[in-house]
Amino acid sequence: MTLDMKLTMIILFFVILTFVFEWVRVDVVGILMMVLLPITGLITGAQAFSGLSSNAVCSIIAVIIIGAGLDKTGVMNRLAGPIVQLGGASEKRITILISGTVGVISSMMQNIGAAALFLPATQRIAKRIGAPISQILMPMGFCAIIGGTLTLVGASPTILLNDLIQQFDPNLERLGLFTQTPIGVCLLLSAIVYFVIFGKWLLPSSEGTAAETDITTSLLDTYQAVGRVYELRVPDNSVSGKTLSDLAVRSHYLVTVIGISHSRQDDPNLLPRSNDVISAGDHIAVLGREENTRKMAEEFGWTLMDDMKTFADTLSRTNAGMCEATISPRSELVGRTLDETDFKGKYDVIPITVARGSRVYHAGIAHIKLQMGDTLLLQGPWAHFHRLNDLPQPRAVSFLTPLEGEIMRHHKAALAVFWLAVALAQVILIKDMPLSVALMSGALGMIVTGVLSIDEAYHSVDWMTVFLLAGLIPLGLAFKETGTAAYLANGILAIVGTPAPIVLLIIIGVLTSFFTLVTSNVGATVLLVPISMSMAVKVGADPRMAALVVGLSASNTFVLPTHQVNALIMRPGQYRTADYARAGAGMTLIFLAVELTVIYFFYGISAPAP
Amino acid sequence: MEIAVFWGKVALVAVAFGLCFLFRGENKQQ
Repeated sequence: MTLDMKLTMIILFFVILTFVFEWVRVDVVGILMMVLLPITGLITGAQAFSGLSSNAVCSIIAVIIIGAGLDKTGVMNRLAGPIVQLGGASEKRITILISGTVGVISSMMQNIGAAALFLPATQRIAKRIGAPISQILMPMGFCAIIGGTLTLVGASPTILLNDLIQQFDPNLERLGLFTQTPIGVCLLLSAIVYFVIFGKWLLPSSEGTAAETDITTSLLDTYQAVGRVYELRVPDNSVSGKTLSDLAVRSHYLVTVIGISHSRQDDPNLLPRSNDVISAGDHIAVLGREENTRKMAEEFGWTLMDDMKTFADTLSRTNAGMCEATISPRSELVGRTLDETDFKGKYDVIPITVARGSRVYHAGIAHIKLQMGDTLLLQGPWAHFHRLNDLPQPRAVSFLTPLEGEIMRHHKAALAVFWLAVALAQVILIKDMPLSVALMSGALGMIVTGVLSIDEAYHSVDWMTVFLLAGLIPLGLAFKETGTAAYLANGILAIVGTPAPIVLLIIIGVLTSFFTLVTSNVGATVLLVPISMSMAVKVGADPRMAALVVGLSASNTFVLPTHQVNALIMRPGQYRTADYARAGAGMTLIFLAVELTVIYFFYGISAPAP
Repeated sequence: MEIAVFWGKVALVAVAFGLCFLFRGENKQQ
């Protein structure tokens, strides 16, 4: 063992230690590698920063921008819709649907691409059903990685396999595109089952940062008297033709109508006025206390629904909600009433209460002469709040709570999908087109055609992911360049001697799983396939199966956030390294067990007779 | 000589990670 190898091992030891105990954040460890490795002379300065320009990192940047473009135009919302409808509010069903879909898509494209594209959709779905994102994101990420094992072209390690096998012995039969599919299917299914059964215990249930918690829910907790949102149905045989002011819903029952969906119209009206007519067959969304709402429903003969149906989407957390706003000093509202200023008509949001000092007024708020510092509780679609907030000063109100949602550029949705298609078409149709170039051209197309601005594009890229990955690439390089990787692999296999074929395959699987954590999966494959194949020949095992075990185990990387996909989901999911260790340890063992069992029983591991 | 350089590098690595360890409290807030 040379001194450089010893030094590499020492650094690797410290890196793993720092990862586990999180003395500094993982991306800082990445930057430390970019600095420490060239200073100690293990790699050159150019190699140290080569990660930043690598195909992997540039692809991630591009795909994140494409994902942001799809998200901003509402494409992700539309994709999320059917998944939520199929899965309902069941977290488990949603996890199965998302993980399964991502896994299958990942079998045909780079798994980081599949994961990055689904990340915004997954975030939206979690928000919509009110589930902690951390419970859904890791299964999604793991399945994106495992999906790569479904076909020969699903992940880079297996793409290389045929070349490596032919280099070893040109007479050996090549692996087919779907040779490994049965193994991949079993792996994907076992991962989904693993998370459905153990997910609750293995995954953290952090709801995200403070800004991520639902503002509307916390406001409703504060304003207890306001109640909740309910959906009511006006029966078909009901006498129709009364306006909201005729019914005096607000003054009699302290219930606010926040949406009317007429049976003959597609889009619900989220800004009901007092002269709007309620007709038979309408659905009505109201905000009020349960007892008041129940009483009102009884007296009018309306049906109180158990769940939101017609308004499930339009009033979902991602589309509409509540916020608190205060009357600013130079506001036009000072000294006037909400009625006089036609607040509702002008700003398209519904005032629910007015608070002055310690008093909260629920009824008759339209006639209160407003003062500076009065606080309004408002309800409406987020887009309307954003529009109000974007008005030049002096604005009527200043918002006290953060605004959720954003203004969607629905009219650019077709363009966003077009540029995604352009990027994917280049990947699929043009041979030898680097993934990063294809994806970046799609991202650039989105920016040039105004799907999202260049600043929004920069803003969407997460530097943590970029530097974590870019910093791990030089570590893998040092591991390889100094010969440490080859030394370790040869050393371990020399100690093993000539075991039974299945024992050898187990050792190869474990060894690959370890190497792929600390060096790149491609690096591990290139290094281990030739060694494993020659060992297999020695002990009478099928060398092709040995190569396949290496190629598949190179995707067995769940214990540390070093794989691109794991690094990508780390921040959005609020994961710590310990979370990967906890959920990933079981996954790693299951992966090896399933993979080797299927190979042992269905592929045959003995060398074919000459 | 070569051994001395090696130990120098090991010391450097130890200092780098030692700093991370010493200032871990401040880094936790990131």
